[in-house]
Amino acid sequence: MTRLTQFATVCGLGVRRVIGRLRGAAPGRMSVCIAGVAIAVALLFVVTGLSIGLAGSSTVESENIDYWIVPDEGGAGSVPLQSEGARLSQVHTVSAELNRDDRIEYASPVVLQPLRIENPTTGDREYVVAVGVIPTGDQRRIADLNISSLDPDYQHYADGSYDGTWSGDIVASPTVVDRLALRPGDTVAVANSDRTLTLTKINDREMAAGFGEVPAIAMPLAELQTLTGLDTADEADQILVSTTNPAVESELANLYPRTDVVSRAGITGVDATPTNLPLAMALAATLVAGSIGIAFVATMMGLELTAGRKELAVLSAVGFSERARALVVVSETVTVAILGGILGVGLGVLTILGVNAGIASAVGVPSLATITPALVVYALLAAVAVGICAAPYPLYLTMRTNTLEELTR
Amino acid sequence: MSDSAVVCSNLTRQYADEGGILHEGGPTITALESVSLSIGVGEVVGVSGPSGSGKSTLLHLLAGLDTPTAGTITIQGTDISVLTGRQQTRFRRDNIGMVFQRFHLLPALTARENVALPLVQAGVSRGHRRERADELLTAVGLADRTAHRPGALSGGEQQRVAIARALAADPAVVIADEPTGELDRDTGDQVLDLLTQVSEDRAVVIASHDTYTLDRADRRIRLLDGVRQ
Repeated sequence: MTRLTQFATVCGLGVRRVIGRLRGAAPGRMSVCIAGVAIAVALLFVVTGLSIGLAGSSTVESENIDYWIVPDEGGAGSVPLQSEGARLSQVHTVSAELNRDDRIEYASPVVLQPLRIENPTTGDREYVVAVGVIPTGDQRRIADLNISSLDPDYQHYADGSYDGTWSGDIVASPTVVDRLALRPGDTVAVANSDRTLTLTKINDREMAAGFGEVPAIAMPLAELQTLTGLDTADEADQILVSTTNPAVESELANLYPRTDVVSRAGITGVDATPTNLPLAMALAATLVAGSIGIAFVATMMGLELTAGRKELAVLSAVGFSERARALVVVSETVTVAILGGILGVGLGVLTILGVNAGIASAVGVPSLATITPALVVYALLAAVAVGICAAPYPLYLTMRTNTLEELTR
Repeated sequence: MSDSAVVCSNLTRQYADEGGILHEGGPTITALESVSLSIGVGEVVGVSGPSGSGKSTLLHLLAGLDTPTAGTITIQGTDISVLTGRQQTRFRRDNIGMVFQRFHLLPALTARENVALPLVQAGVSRGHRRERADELLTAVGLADRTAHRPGALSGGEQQRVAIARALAADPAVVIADEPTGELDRDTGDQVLDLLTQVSEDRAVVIASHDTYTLDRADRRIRLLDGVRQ
């Protein structure tokens, strides 16, 4: 038997002792300990999921966009849809300049606005998130919406005026198509406007994860600006810039005063948000959940060990070295934390689903908190870290256990 | 009976009075004084004496759980009185099996897992541990109780599991401290039968103040105030 196998076998004894106690030998303290960790991990999971949701929804994700120019206005960037936040102006002019730069593959202002649209045939109405972009003939996705189906012959806007041909093209997410019973070629009406839109293509997936399964459409920027009154100052919420040259970033930062240039990221994208709120939330959740978890596991495992010192003495009597006994105790502590972590992830998933469903039904706001595989892994790793950080106290008690004293007590 | 498995020479164990540190010239309590004995392979030796006579101290010294103040303990040719704590633990794992009055089984583990416990750190593979545990549990008449936890076993059954655990590593010496103390007479008889059976190829030391138990031993050593009578 190799040292590694021996290590695993001794650790396995710790795992079996935990499972044995849970299955009837002495489930009380152990169950409470696991429940404590579960609550801490669930808290971590929900708050971090919320943070990721907020961070993801404040910027539009795209496979091809590397940078966003976003207004540096506290708070506005942390909501899914900006209503009164700062915007960038003269965006067509700026993006045209950017597109002339050889280092930039594509640049487009982006407007995110809610629109109420209606299927005139059925009378079904729905609020959707409208994403306004400058179409391109290339295969390109913005917020997971494939904008290559929009007519690249961008005619409604030209030289500062918005009186060109109205295409009305939209690409709609499957949720929109389902709720309004649309088919490609169907026309929809826009509330408070005599303009109509035409479904050119059904998107093959829902909008970017940050928004959850929210009904969304992509359409030409200028037409969305016209529908929402943003044409007056040629405004947009942000400008997306796709480039392979990182040197561009510093130049982008100087295009507008009080703007941030942020880069695309995944789960760690919380630090790419215009505000640090989601990051602060995630950090706070980690600290609070970690502290609660460590305190809980250390205390409960300490009590468990204090009550079961005789068992450690028995291990010594049958030939377990001090190191092996320590390994058993650490593996027990980590096992408890992992079981708590698994339960906590389950609780967290249920809580997030509940919260999202509640918010959606109560105020009609799309899903805020996000569940991703990376978040699950993160929560489980946090649980393992809690177990390892909580281990020193049980270890200290183990080292203080006097075999002879315990066996003769 | 053949060669000596255990040889103790002038074994003395002193403790500092009132829990202080033991040092030369300081107040001490002598738990065992100049005890010499020899136990052969295949021999069952009973250690008798009233409470406080030094029975448990002698057993703890033989088991390597305690270190003598003076004298030597040689088991299978190794003087364990000079071993470090880690070496004593390793020696105990490979050479000594212990049976306690209160069984001391781990409640979260099954009978099989308890029996296999000494083999875990000894580096025995899982399959062999299981095989050995089942073999021993069958030998002590508990073939149908392998998956039961101690809480589901009677006192006699628990002590038989403890004996099986003591034999798992095939030790040269089995040390039993009041092995029938918590059992009724019939169950105690079964346990003593087992201990007698296992003495065929090893030394067995049983400490008890029960005359009936001691009568089952091949030879009896009596201690009084730490001194062999």
